[in-house]
Amino acid sequence: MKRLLLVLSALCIAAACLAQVPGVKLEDHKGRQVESTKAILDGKAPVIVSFWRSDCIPCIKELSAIYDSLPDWQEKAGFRVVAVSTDDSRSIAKARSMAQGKGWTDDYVLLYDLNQDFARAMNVTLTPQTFIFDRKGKLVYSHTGYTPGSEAELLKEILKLK
Amino acid sequence: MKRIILIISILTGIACSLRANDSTAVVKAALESRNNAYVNDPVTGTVDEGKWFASNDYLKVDFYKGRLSAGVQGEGYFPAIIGYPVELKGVSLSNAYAAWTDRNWSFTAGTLYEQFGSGLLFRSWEDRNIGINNAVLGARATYNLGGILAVKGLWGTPRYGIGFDSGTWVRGGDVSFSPTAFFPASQLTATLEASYLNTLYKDAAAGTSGYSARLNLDWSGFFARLEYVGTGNEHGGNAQLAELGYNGGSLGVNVNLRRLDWITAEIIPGKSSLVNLLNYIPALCTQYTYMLAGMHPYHSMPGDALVGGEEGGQIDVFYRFRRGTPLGGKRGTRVHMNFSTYYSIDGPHSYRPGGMLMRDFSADVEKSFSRQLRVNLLYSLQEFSPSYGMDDTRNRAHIVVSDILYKFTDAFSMRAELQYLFTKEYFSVLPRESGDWAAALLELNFAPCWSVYFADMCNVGGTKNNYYNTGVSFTRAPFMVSLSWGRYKAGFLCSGGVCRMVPAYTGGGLNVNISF
Repeated sequence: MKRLLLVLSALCIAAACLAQVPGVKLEDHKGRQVESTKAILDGKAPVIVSFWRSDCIPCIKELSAIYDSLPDWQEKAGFRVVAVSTDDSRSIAKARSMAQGKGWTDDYVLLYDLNQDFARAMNVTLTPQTFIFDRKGKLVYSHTGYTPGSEAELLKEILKLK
Repeated sequence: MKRIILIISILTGIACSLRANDSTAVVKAALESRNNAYVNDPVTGTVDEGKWFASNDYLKVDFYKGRLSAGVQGEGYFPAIIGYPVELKGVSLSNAYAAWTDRNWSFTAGTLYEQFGSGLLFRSWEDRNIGINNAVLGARATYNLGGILAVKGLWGTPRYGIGFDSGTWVRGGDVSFSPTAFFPASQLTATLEASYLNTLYKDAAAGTSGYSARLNLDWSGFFARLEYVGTGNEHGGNAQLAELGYNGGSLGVNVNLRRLDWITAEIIPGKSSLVNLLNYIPALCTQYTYMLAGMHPYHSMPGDALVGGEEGGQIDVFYRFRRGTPLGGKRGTRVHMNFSTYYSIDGPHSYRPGGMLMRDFSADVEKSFSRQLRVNLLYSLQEFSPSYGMDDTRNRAHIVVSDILYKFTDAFSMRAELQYLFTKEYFSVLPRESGDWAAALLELNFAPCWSVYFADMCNVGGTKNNYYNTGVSFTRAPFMVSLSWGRYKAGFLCSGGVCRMVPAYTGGGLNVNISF
């Protein structure tokens, strides 16, 4: 048991030190294939990456809350928001229409992870799961689940990177 | 064979890692533990001897360095949580892979996940909520030529339960050709796609060959995706799928039309189990997460001796009334409507509809009235045929849901759900509980870490049984821990449109997620 804990701890420390964005093929909002690292990191500004599904109510609430707060937040700091849908072929068309109908196309970079390859690479087993990467691509924050108000935490983390 | 492939995977990983010294290494790990304890309850029944505790546990570690990735996943069931497929038992190092991804090509050896088209022909994927993991142990190669041509091929044996000993082998390929990629300025995007899958069953002299042909078109926000699938099985199984729609401005419209005719593809022929899947046949309708709206989820009828198949479709409309408009108000208003209906097919290989299987109309509105108050309202009219379309009997329910969030401070908020289901028939199948239902939920949130909830649903028009539950969750990276206790009714638990039957139980749950 001690050995197992030791191995787990070592893995956790290694992971925490080295975590970045794995390169995986995704689709953009128009169905074109893009590479995750290039689509998410632009090297200029920090980025919030939120994994969501069209049938996950907390995911939609979180993205809507961020969307409503964006005009105020963008005055305080420059950053991008990337919403990665983990909808599969059953609901991918619905996810695209939902993103359009909710206005997320205006302010978010929308990516679609059809067979959850990127979610697996990022170890996303529950949605919503949100990450913040600094402009160099280093993971500085992650959060699983959504409690109303927790979106304010994202702005605090972004402001720390200024 | 399994060991040989695993060894090859690991050696490939080591060999590649020696060359991949051009970028930073990334290690990611995730531990997930789902634990349930069960107690006797006069409503949900007596716990079987020695089955008072169950635990599903997963540990996954991945390594990335430049173009190389490699990983392992271990699973343990001590035993599996009730309702999960019986094949999930014991401890296993279930997944191990190594992959090399270059600019235009990739190669994967070991366990891999793949999907051809919509998945009607072939899909290997993992969904821990329902216990599906049909990863393929084998090899895959892909090649991509400048967005014009994409080719992939795979070979291997699918996972059944926690092992790869089904004796079934699959080999297949997928090709995608985009002629419009020659004209980058064109508004029109057209893609022609085709897939082939050969399945060789244990002791079978010859394999079964299935195929899929697809056409995808996109033009100025309009889109159309058409697919035809032939399974090549002894029933002459086939399916047709059309996705049509428009996304532009504040409007998103999406129409799905689908016909299924003996389309099931199994890993082991004739075995009845949720893990016995080689393709993906989800229900194309709204999957509700509210307690009462999701009480009787529809699951697709891919074709069997009882119902030869299904045909039908759904339409979704999403619209946003912008800020400053009369219906949008100061903060905008978002509306969504869905209509779904499915019929059995009228005899073998018929294109005529038979009896109605289900029908659902729903409308929901999301509106923020102030920084503090946000309201979601849902109405759903659901109908299903208890005889699977054999006669005209239909069970119908009207369901209303209000979901109200009030933020007292930036960190403290309260969310309340009030729900009611009106019906004269039964909507709860196991046990059959007729008449109206009422449900309520109260959730207190202390952002960003804590959340506490209390919920109850009651068959007010029939048995008066209460199904209560309460829980607390804590989330702080890298941890998420939730603890719950309650009485849960039997029913279908659906994830991604695929459902598993969960028996009724009373007890507690402890879920732990650690992810780095």
